[in-house]
Amino acid sequence: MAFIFSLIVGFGAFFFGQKIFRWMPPHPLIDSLRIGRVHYLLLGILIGMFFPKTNEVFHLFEVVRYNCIGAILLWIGLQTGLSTDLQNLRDHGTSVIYSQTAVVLATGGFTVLAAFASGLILYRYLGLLQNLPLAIVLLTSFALTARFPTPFFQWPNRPIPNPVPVQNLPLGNIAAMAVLCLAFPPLAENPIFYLGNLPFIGVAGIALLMLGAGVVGGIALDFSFRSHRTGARSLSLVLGIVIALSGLCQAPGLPSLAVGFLSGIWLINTTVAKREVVEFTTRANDVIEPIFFALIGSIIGEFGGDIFFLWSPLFPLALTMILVRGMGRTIGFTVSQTLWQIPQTWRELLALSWHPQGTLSIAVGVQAIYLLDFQHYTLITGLVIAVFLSQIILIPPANSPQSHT
Amino acid sequence: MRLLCITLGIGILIWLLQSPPEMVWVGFLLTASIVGARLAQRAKLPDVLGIIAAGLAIGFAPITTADSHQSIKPIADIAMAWTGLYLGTSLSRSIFTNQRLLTGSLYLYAAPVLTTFFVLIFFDLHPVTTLQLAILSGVPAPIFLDRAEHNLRDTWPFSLCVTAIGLCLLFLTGLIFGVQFIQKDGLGSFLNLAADIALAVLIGVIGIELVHRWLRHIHTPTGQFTSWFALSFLIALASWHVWVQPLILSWAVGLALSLRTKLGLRPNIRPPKAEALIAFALAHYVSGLILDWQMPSVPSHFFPLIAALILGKIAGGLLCSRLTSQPVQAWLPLLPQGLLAIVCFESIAHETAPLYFICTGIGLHLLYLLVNQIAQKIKNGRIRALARRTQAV
Repeated sequence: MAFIFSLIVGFGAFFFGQKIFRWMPPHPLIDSLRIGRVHYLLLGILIGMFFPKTNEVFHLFEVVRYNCIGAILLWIGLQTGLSTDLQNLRDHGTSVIYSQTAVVLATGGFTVLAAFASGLILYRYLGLLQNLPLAIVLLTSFALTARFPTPFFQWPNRPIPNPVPVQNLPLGNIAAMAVLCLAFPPLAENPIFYLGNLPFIGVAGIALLMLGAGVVGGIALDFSFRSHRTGARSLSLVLGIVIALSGLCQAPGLPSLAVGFLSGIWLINTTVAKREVVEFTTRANDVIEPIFFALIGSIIGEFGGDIFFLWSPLFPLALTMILVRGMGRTIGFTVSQTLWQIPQTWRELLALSWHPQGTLSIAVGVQAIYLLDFQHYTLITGLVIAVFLSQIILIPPANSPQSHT
Repeated sequence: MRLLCITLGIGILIWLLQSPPEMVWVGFLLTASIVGARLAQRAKLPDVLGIIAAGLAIGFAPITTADSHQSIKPIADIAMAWTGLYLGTSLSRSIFTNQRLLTGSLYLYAAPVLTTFFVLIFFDLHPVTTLQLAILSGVPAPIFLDRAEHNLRDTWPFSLCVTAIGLCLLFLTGLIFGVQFIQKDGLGSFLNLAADIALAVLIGVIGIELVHRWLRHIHTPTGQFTSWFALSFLIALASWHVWVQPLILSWAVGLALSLRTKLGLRPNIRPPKAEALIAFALAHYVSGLILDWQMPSVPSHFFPLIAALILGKIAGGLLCSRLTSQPVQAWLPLLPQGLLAIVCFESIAHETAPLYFICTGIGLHLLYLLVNQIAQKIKNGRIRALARRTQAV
């Protein structure tokens, strides 16, 4: 009964928060966090705090949570894959592509160096038990990600800034997923899997399995979209396929994000219903993201019963991640500004270098739960905090007159 | 054909994996039920029959085990809670205050209850069981009805109203006999129970008020969907906590939410009929019934119960037609029984629940379709004869 009572209290607190939000328009910092859906994370933390592991219902909740997060990770990967439309990439100027590539290389290189240097810290303080190389790959992918599409919030009494062309190309996110896809097969912890009597052994086997699952998922999704382009039935079929695919990823321990990404690439580049697919998945995202954040929050909030994370290395980790990522991006964009004049002004350079992270970043962090063994989840909690800290680094806009309304 | 291939592909995958993860099962059930509905639609049958057929096929399939079925029950419970919310919120005060609907519903409900009760008292059953079985016999299957199709007539409100009467009576019976049972243990246990019930009611009232106020502030369809999904999740959690079927609990919550407003929840606020969730819940439940079926000897009262139920429902329908001027087509779809009835029946007579569902859920549905076809043919024949006569004149 205490649990149900706590649920009502949590729900009431959330409701009260929404009411306050309606009365008082939030400050841009808070608004940026709201767009990042931090309030759902807080709701999840509240639920998690009141949910002791000793409760008999907890086991059932754990089953639902673990499976739902797995399926949502696949969905987020699929979303990233859908942004990898080759035709769209070709439409962008080569200078934009080169500029983004420079940023990806600089950020990736910087993060790999930093992660290698702090390998012992990962083992000793951040709860990692084994497979440091895979942890480094995940950290690199995490650092490469950025919030996409660009958030829209307005500074009070300030003009609306014109978007920089680089912002419309999520090459960082695509590169993050590509790194995960390429690096996972050689670093997989358990590189043997039997599908019936068919063995998938070693790097080639796991890579083939991942690619096969991704392509088959993409084809199945394409079929379902061809049968029903819109409506509830289409949603049901897509959900069914995504869920089954996420289950398939769990059996051999494949990264759902990577498989979803491969499915998304196949789907967007082969389907005839491209516009419908993108519109449909974007609409569904509005429902799926809050659920994802609430579930992640419930994991973080569980520290009441057990040692879930250590407080002392948490904020240093988050700040280090932000600094490493920011420095890598700054170097990349400085190179890009020198060579291709992208971005043009120092203000744009600052804004792009400290561009906030988003849902994909958290998904990469959470993917570690499924791929690595941890003593405690300090690393994951630190990454989640890093994402939300990155969302409160806002560059004030210039006082130039309003260019458009 | 493509979708059938996808479903079969997932089925083969389950067969190949030694211990498939839960989500593969969930995906399989989801796609299989949707494909079943689509095939049924192509065969010009109601979608629900396709979903049930998919559930039956999965239940009988050699790849399905009780463990795998049980492992996805927490997820199925969320879908069940959604179904209950959808049904509960569909009922509004205006249906209860409509004299014609209420009178018709009372006839439709009372006739099968009385018939089955008077048949069952001749068998060696506990009086409480007799009463509960009789009360259940009047409950129809609102989830089997296509709301858009049946909204023209009073079928949909009838089914909701009759279901509400049946479930409220069942709850009252349970409460009265439960209290009598507890009183035998002494005043202390009785007071404990009363305190628990009072606390549950208090928490329920506060929770429903909060949800109601919350829903008034949500204007976007995605926000509403998320809110309803969250509520289903919370109800499923609560149902595991208090050991009540999520379908029943969520139906009661939905009804309370709907009755909280004067004119019921507006259509754009109500939970949408999420076909995926409802189909998944139904297919999972049906496959579970088949897995639990142990072919016991059928009790002597079973077939008389079914016969009395059919006769009672027809008698009730005819009475309703005569006294409230309803056409036959308005009450004929209320013949079969659905999820709510079978879930309650399972708690009363667990062993015969699968057979009961096959008779009342599938058999009566087919009977209704057959009768409907015949009625349609007769009507068409009359229209043609009239047209011929008009041409002749």
